[in-house]
Amino acid sequence: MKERNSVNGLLIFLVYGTFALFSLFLVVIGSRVYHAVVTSGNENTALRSSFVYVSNKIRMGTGNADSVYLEERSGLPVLVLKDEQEYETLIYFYEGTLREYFVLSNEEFNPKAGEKIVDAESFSIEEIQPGLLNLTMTDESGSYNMNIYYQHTKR
Amino acid sequence: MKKNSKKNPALVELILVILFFSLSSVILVQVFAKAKRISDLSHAETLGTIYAQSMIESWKADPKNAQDNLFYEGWTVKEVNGALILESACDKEMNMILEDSKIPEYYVQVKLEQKKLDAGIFYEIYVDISDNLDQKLNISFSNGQYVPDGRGNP
Repeated sequence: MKERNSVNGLLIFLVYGTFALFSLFLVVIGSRVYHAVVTSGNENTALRSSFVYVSNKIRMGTGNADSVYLEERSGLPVLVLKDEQEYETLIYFYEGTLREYFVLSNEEFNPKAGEKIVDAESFSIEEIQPGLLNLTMTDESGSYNMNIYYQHTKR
Repeated sequence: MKKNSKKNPALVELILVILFFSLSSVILVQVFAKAKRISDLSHAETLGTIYAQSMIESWKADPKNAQDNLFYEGWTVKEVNGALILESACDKEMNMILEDSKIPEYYVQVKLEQKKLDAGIFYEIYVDISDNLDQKLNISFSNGQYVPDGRGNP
């Protein structure tokens, strides 16, 4: 009788153990899925925001010839979008963030002063052929490209 | 028998709880799988949209010589009713698959057409992206550009 009771006790313990193990397993799966979904959502947002932001900025500047061009300022590659007046918008990547800096044309460039747009591991803009800009963004999951056609790029 | 069940009410209760837990687990796992699938589809839509837009932007740079901008190694090229059709298979990150051993996740089809008009040519591009599994992803973009005779790219 005593032996039977101990077997029953062991069985209950085993069932408890299985219950606890599967509960833990389910929580781990749930947290992993949640993490993957949130990470993927954030990546999508960052990717879309950065590409759409830059392409819209470029298209906004199509009014004048040579109002969009790439140049180096303070050692950084900068996309310059010139205003019809004396202002210019500078788009560049600095300290892990894509930034925008709206300044007077003759004002000194201070990369730290730019407004943060989106975080990334790297972000580059290059002119692959006349009028065709290539944006490359790298984040944790990889490197992504997008081309933007702009006819009036300064040469 | 009656005597036995009276002796182990905890065990019977536990078995009932585990049964309920198992049913809930099955439902939860299905929900998790669905959430992951929706997330993957959303990611694919983002990448597919960027890919299709990028192709159209590259095409805009010179629609007359679109092949030079769009033809890469790995494209299957065919001509159907005067239209040039390029097809390729891509992986999860929209990278073109060049090896046969990899299973494609998405298919990209680009159709290039041109219509001769009185004073020029109207160039058109259609980009379609679909997935390999359940055909839930379906991205279709198109664009057109008129190029007058003798003037090149307008």
